[in-house]
Amino acid sequence: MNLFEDKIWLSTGVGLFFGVILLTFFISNNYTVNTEYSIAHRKHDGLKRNIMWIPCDPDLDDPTFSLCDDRHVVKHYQSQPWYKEQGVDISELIVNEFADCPKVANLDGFITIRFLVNCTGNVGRIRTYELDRSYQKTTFPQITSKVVEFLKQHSPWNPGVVKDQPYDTFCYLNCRVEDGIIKEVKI
Amino acid sequence: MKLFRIIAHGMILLAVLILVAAIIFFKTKNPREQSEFFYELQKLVPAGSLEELWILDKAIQLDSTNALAYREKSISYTRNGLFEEGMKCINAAVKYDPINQLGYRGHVKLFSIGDYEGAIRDFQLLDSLTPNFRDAPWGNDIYYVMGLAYQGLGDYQTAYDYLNKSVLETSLERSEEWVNVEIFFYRGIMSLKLNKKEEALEDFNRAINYYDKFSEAHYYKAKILKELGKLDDAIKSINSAKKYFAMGYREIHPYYRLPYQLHEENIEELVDELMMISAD
Repeated sequence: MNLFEDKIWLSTGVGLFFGVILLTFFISNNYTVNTEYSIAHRKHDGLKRNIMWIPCDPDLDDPTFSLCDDRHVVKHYQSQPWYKEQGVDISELIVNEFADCPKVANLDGFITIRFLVNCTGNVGRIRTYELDRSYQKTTFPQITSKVVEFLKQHSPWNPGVVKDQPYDTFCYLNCRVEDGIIKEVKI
Repeated sequence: MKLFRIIAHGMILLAVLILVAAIIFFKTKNPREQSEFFYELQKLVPAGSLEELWILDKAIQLDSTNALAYREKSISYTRNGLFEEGMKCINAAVKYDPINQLGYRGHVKLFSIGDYEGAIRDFQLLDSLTPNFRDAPWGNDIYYVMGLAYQGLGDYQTAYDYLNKSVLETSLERSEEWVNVEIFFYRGIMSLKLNKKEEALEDFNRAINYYDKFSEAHYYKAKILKELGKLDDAIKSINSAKKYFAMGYREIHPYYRLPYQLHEENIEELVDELMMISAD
């Protein structure tokens, strides 16, 4: 039998060939950057498929808060947004604000606040996570909601900047709670 | 046309053969090696992406003792402030490979979370598992990170003792030139906290001697000289701090804020104070 005259082999071969081409195109389209268009679309999809992403929740979020470009949200360590009042950083401001709170024995752990700072410095999509000293879920009644309110009131921030361009930025603050008092805020 | 068909068929057959060979080769590997293949594969996709987590889960599924896969998952979570998931993963990594993973867990607790007691426990456990060996958790001398952890707890004397131990042991093993200048800096800060200004000044001078563009050491040196009434020297030091800080010589870490990290406002504030004193 002449192998190359066999129609079944030919159609199978052509199908496989185009299949391989299509698969290669699909993979390269997802993981290579060729043009500005592909960058935007890759990040648009990629960002929302990243654990960094904080999706909008109409029940929780301020409807007036919006991102300047939700295809290009960067991480805090890439663009370094900040907030200061008379030279005092947000982490110190939080510690100072809650320093005189009444002590609550054995109320220890960590409050993590994840949020977005948009390119104009507004803060939104705030989410909180409360853990005890063993990193198990817990609650810090009174404290967490007050910190969130404090954060909302201390806005706008200086937006995160990359190469002189302001960007929407993902941030988080981690508060160490000891006996019901915030002792330190890590950025 | 016939030639084209020969080439096309040849290529397809070759591709199929390569694919079959790759699958057979993969299947002949033991689960550990297959798991390591997926661990390497995750490096091709963005950190923190669902694809990365899926690949790492696959690695863990193939070998549930692959500590590196657990640690990589934990890195993605902790760098995004998701500490509950992050700690679950790193705890699993520590369970299967305590000697290589305890240092990283202590490092995360120390710098990212501020769980200083937890960090000390991890570093002590690591130290006890490696007798007669000086560990370097995540690349830093164990006595240095222990010192920073006690500093976080506000126990400045113990922090000083550990930092001092780090300097002494490195100097003894090699020479003082091998000591990380940041350890001199933090030992100086601890001396300052313990109100031992002369010792602190010596350490800042030592740090500057080995690294003259150390903005933070110049800044704290200026602070001490101001308190000692040596105004001219203090102005010289703060000018050096300002110059090198503006040139970008700053002690920073990309993922978290370091203890006693300097800000431009701190320098400006001290410059203003010194100018006011010298004007009087």
